[in-house]
Amino acid sequence: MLARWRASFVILLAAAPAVVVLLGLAGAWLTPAGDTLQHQWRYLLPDAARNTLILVMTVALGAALLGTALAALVALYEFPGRAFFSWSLLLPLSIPGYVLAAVFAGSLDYSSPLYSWLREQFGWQWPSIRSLGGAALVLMLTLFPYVYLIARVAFESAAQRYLEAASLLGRTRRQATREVLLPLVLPAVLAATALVAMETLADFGVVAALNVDTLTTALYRAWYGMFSLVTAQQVAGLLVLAALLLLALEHRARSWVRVREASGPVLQRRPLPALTAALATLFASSILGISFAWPVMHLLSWASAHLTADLDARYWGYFVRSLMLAGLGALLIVSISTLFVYARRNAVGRIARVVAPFATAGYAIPGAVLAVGLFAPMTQALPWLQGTLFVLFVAYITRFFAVGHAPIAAGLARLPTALDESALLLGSRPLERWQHIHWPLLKGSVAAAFVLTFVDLMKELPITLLTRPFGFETLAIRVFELTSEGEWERAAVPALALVLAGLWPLKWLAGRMPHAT
Amino acid sequence: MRLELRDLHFRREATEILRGVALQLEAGDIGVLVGSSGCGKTTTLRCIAGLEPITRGEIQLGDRVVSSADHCLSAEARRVGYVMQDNALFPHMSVADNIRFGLRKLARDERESRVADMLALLGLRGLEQRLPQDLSGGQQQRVAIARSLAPQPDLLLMDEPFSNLDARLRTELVGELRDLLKRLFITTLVVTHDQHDAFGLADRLGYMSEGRLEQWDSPYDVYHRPRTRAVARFIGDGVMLPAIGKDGLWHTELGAIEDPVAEGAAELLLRPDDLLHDDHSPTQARIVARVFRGADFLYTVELPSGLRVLALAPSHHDHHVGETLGFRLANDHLVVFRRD
Amino acid sequence: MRFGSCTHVVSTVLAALGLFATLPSSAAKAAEPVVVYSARNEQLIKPIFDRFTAESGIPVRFTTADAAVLIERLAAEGKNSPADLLMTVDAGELWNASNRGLLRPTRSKILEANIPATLRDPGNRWVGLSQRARTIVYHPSRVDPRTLSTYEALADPVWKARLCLRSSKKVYNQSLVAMMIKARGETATETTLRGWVANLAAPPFANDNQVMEAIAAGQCDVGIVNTYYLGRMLQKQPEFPVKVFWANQRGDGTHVNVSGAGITRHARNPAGAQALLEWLSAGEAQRLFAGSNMEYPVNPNVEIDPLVRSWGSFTPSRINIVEAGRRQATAVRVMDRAGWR
Repeated sequence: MLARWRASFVILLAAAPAVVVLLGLAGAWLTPAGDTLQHQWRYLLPDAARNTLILVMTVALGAALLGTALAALVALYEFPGRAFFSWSLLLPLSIPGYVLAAVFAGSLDYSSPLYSWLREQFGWQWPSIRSLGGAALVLMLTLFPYVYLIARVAFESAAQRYLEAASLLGRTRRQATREVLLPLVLPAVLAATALVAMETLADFGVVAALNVDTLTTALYRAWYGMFSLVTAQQVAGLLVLAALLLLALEHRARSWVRVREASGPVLQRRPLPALTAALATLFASSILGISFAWPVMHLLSWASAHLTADLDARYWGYFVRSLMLAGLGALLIVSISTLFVYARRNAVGRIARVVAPFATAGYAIPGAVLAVGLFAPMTQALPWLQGTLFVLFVAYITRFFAVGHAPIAAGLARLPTALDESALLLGSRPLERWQHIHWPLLKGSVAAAFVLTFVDLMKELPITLLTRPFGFETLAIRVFELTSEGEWERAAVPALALVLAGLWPLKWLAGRMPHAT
Repeated sequence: MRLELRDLHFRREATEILRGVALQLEAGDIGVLVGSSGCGKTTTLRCIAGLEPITRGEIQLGDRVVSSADHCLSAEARRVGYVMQDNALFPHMSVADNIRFGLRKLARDERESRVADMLALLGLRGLEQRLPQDLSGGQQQRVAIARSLAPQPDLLLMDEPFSNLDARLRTELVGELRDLLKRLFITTLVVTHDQHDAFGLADRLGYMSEGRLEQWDSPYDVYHRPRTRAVARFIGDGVMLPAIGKDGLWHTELGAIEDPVAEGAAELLLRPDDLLHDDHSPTQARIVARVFRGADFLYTVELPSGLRVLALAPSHHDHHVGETLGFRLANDHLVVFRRD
Repeated sequence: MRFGSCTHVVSTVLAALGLFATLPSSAAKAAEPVVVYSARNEQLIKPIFDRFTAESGIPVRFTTADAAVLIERLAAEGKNSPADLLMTVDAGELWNASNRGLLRPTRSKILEANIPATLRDPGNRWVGLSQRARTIVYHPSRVDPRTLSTYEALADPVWKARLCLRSSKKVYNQSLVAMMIKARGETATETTLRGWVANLAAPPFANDNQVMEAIAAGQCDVGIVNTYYLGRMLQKQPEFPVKVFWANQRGDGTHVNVSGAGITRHARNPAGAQALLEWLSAGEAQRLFAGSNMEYPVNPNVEIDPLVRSWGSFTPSRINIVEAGRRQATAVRVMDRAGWR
């Protein structure tokens, strides 16, 4: 166990960059910036705020329902393809949202071959994908695996005996799942949904590709279009407020239930009756199909024309640098998150307690605003850091801390404190306790945190763009280079490489997760 | 409701866990299964509850066969209450909600009065709104029992119901529980590894070992007429005394015992109460250990051959380790296991 | 080959893990390198920089990002900035950078001779290096080009549900509107934009390609795009049914923006940066710089790409491009008021 002052120190250090950025955003509200903000209030922000609210709510709800339903299906029932879906439903995480948005726009919009053909043959019409609803769909399809992953682990670690107790009290499996199991996994689902909501709040790629106005696009409009970074920071401040509100809601919701790790036999999956099983397979494969297989096939068809032209030795470098940045970044984030979570378990200081929640708020700040907000003070205070990856990693940690933090915090919360205490009474040293007691029980959560952050970092763009050293190209940057002037078909090559690079860690994660026997 | 198991077999993967368990438990009786861990007690309960499908045999509840090799009535349709080993109280529901959980089909008024009855019956009044994690072990146990009893099951199954309670609470709860079950006339099958609980509760007692029920009898008979060495060894304290049978007598280190059929090599079961302290007895042995149990002493004494036997003495007979003690055989019946 | 790629991997990893900084290349010792912050993407500038290095012996190091972000980086780094040159794909950003004092004036006879005055900063802090014409495109079988005239005329109700536009978030549209405001004033421009919005056949698109695809698919008949996007489209599909119409030829000329560059205030190698700029403004470099993306050269003496030439010659706007930056913020407000998303 960390000594108390050390615990407080860890918390303050981990939260420091986020606090610097947040102070910068707060400072923006005190900076005179002409009437740009008033202009935006009048013409842009009401609609943008409404759209953001609708988007966050629909995406959070949709991802929560979809993720939980799939997790329940995979964890509780046996149906054809279950083992395959169990890991492959994580794959959509490897597809960047802006890529899926481009694929959807390219294949579902009015001018797409598919729509044109259906329109001409059958007179079919459907609403434009370039709309709020379209953006919600795309975000939901790229973000539901967060909920799926975390909920599945929760389902699989929920003890069989709760279900049995319910069935002995007259509940069918389905009723027992709804009345007993769902409330038990609810905290995990809420934590994952909060991540989804924050990611949606900060999304720029998807809404820009589908031209939906949200608070983030209003923010970039002020900055890029009206040269007012201050106004952009003021709007970003609103996003952070919304995020803190979300976090507070999630925290309250979670305190309804304090569930400790259930002991006893793990869940046994039930076979589904033939027809239901076929429907389950159909459901899982159609979700996997539209969120992963389809975009990948689309990218493949785009890429096929450019494979020979664009794919050369440079890709080795892109590939290695992407893996390196994401791997090292994820390692840092996971290590710091773990320390942080432990520190929070032990910290009693008031400052630490007040500051701690801010550490995770960075996830709601659009990457470019966060990068600039950190870059400026850091290069001024520490000019010798220039040209190193230091600022980049600090910005990664600040932005993606929440992703690494959530699974580890949830994992540690499931461990009873009695475990610590009994180990303490047996006279074990902190390191031994970690090695023999916590690590074996936490490593599933840590692995989940690592892979989630890794996949997010692979896709990360704005921070990498601003803070990378000269000539430090990665796959995501390659995608940016090619798409910034609309060369989507060429960009399919690095985009595919990006997806590929995300595949093996996801597969690996799937194998590592606790499994019901 | 009457319970009958006939030739119950259960296999998980390649392991044969139950190998032909058979028992009858009359309506309103309390049956107890004892045995060391891994003997199949819990599995037997799970099969009866409908949580595991059986591979051979039959389970009959009342006049209905609920499990057979090709048929398994689902758990939710069996009207069987099951108090699991660690209670499995729903951690996110209050005490009242836990009890209410099985009463969904009742009308609201009836449901609430049943909950109130259960709270009263098990002494849980005032704890309605607490969460399980805020209760003591004994309280949790009562909630679990209340939850299982509330729907008035045809059969109640209990798996190690007293395992995480202290000794005093245990004795108390055992008595209370027996009274309660008798009052409600609920057929109950209890699994425990503790013979004291077993004696306190049971109308019928069974000993299980390696997936077989070795004996199923009244507690008196299981204690005094164990059918196998394993039963004899597990139930009650006792020692196997080697004996040679000849001319209607068993010759032992403690003297000869009459038995018309005594013949060949055998072992006699010697309970502590079969040996009486008697300073004038020719049989003397050295005390190697003693346990003061309040009302009496349980002495372990070593015979000249090195065999150690147990002897009871009233608590005012205070002897020390190392002293010699005289005693004589006072068995009113013989339990003989012939040596093959 | 195998060995080569392996050492490449190893050196990449070492560079990243060991130093956290790119190792200075051996060529850097030969001559002071020019460091470029570029919003023009890598595949458009890398081949040209390589060529410059080969010809002049001056190495070029560069990093790419959005211009707004590069400008913040430049501002944050201040005196310590390694950048010598800021390159953007839009005059507005150059104006913004010079307005914030991040660029320095450079007097160069060569630049003045090679680049028309309207495509240079009057304060000599930046120059345009290629022209990007943004004009009207149409579907030839549904639109008679004789019915087309000016950008403003697209606000006429005859184009109701026939117009496609890109999102007003893109700087290209912001520059176009800024120049319209300069020419006709805010009120008239706002009226025009309202007319455009009322004529839209579909919500604004995320990029120019989508606008052209919508025209080709029949969702709308006319649109406004940068011509090089059409050039790329025609390279892939020579029969792509979208044609160029040069807008405002009788009046103030077709809107052109520039991709350009300026030397930074705290440049460590201003001479090298100036050499690069001058080299880019003439001859083969100028032809490559514009031609590689099917843009128009700024240097009138440089040959235009044949495909681009096939669209015919046009009169570009005579207003200095600096106005695009100066009025960009106003343009965004007008667009907001007109409801152009």
